[in-house]
Amino acid sequence: MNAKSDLPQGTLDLLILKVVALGPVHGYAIAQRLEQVSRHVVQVPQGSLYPALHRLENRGLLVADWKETETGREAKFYRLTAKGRAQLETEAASWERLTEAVALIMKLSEGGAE
Amino acid sequence: MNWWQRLLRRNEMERQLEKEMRFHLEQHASELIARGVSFAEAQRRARITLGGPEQVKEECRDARGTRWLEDFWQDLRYAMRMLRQRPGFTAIAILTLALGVGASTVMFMVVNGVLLRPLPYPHPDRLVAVHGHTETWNAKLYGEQNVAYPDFLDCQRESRSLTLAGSIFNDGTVSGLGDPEHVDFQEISSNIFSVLGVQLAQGRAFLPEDDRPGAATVAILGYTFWERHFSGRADALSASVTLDGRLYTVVGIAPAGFRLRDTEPDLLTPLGQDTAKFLQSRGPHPVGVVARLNPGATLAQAQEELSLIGRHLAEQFKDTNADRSFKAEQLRPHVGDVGSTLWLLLGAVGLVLLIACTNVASLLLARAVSRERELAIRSALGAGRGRLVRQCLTESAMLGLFGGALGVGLAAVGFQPFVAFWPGTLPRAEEVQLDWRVLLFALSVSLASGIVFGLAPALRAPVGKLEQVLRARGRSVVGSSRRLHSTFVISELALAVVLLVAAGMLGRTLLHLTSLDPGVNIRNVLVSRMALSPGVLADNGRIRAAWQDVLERARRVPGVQSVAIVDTFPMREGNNTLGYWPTADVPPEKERPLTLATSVSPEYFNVMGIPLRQGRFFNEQDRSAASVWRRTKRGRKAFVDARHGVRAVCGRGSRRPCAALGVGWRRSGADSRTVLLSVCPAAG
Repeated sequence: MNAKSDLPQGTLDLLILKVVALGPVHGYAIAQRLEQVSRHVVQVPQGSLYPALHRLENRGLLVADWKETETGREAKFYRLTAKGRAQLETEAASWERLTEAVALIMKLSEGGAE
Repeated sequence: MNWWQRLLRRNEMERQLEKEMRFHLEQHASELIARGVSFAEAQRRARITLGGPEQVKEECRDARGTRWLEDFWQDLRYAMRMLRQRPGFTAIAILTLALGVGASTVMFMVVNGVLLRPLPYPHPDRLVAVHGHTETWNAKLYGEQNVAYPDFLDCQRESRSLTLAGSIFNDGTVSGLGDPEHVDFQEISSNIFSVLGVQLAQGRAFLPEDDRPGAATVAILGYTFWERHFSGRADALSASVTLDGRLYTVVGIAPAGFRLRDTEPDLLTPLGQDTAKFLQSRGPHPVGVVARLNPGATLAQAQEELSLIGRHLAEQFKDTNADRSFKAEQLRPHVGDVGSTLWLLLGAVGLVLLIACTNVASLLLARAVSRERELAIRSALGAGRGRLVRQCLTESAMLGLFGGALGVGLAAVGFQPFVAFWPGTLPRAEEVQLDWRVLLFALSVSLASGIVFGLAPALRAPVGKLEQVLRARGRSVVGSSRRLHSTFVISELALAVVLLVAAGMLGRTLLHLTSLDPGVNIRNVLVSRMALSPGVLADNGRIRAAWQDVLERARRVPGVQSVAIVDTFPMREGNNTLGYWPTADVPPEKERPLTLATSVSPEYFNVMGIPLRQGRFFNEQDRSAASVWRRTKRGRKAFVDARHGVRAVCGRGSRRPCAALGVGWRRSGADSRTVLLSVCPAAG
């Protein structure tokens, strides 16, 4: 457990938006998906998942409605709004630029050490 | 969802939040159970992974962004409960505040109505007053100058940036509507209603064709005059009114409360029809001019234009218009010097409000001591200090608002008697009303006082030493509270002393004023106003005969001891001024000192009980003489010489100078200005 690194600041929202973009999903499933996808490398504290979901809902990036799960229980399913999708695209693009830039700098420093 | 929807559906939101959390925990637990974990252990582990459902819920509530509002709502309901629990305390606090806020609101209503409210015309900022202007004139002392009628017509014709309208005061006798009545009327240019933007109550305004010599005689009735003589009937329109022997057809009724140059005229007639001599000359300046800026024009442009017109007129008419120009100013209500008095009174009631606040603050403090344990317990349960202070302030702000609401109610019923009790006449009294400014004032005053008196007790919310507070059994005012309490009592006493001293001084002044000898005895003196008809005025002999006749007939009324004629009644009206010179050489007109002058008939001194100190009163034989009546010793010197006795001559323009015959003076006087009585040429 200790080997897992913390989630970089601000990326939780991006991850949630990405997961929800795949289709309507409830909070517990998001938590599980995040854990699976990140292959136990990134620590997603479940406690901060729900405040983040509510915040995104508040900002109009997500909407939620109550539906039955396959086990017949009622759960709150989150969906992406048009605004949320646009937000996801811009955030994903900027994330990509950032990682590329970081990767470039890492290569540079290796080159400099040779 | 809007923030207010979220707020209104708070219970629903809470329920959903609870359900969502439960779903998560149960889902997690059932998965763990499926993997062979025991029920209790599964539940425990689900909770640990989530990180405590209550904390998560709290964070979700914060994420809603309506947290402060929810807290505020909670505080409000809590405050209501607390206030209801102690009805006695609540009632006293609210009543105290209501008195303070009510008094301040009444005073502010008066200040607002008299000083702050704009003129009751549309776009009052576009209205301009045009005055005559000469370098040597002291407008502060003598008031602004009016404009000569031909000058007014020239300005009206030539100005591009202003639409000018004018009026002059006049008085006369209306007959044919019951008893003849002396009325104040104003002669107006036909466009004055449209310049001011005032709609007539009925009928029409004057037309340009009414506004010339020889046109059909038409009149507009003042609203009060119309109600008095026609009981507000519509058939007044096209009825006839006889003014100074001429028949006028009524074409319109001025709206209620219509005031022109600070008075409500009984009648209005077209200025252009008046062929009086003084209106043909550029020498006298009787016309009061108001103007409206034309669209796009500015006051500076208007001023420039008027100055130019003034320069042209000065070149053209050297003997009357040299050094003469015009001045344009924003039109403002004329309220005289009542402003300083009003602000002073507002300050005084402000002190009363402060005293009320201190009283309530002491009450709250006493209560805060008894609530110390409650606050300590809340603090121990995790309430932050800021949160506790906020809650206490909400409570006092609510007290303030309740007090304020009651205060506004008191003010709404109390302002009329207050205005009625105002000594003399309050200018613009009709403008004193409850409007949004007053309500805003009352709201901010009550909120501010709520916070002022709530702050000190609120800041006592416990921080440390919870244990001691919780253990302490005594509920007395101790330590810092006692100091605070003393501060309240001291400041309250200080404020009260200031108020008492001020009130005492005011009372003393009032007593002085009532015991003051004005130099005249007005007991059992009756006054009536009267004007001679224009036909009589053409001939001096007939004027004299007419006044003699009036005096004779008045003398014959049973019970009448003596009768006199006076043009301006003392201390009520009158600003006739004359230049005077106590030397043998006649000084240039501009350097002559001015004095108030009143024209009277000889018996006036008997009627008014004016004591004579020196010389003699004038009699029927003194056609053109003056008797000087000085109120102050200093003033007496200007007219009286120890060796030569009385000596003063006065006069204006080309009139024959009058010699002073006698002096009456008093050491004390309400008015230290000179009052000078000259023989009324009409009655002499």
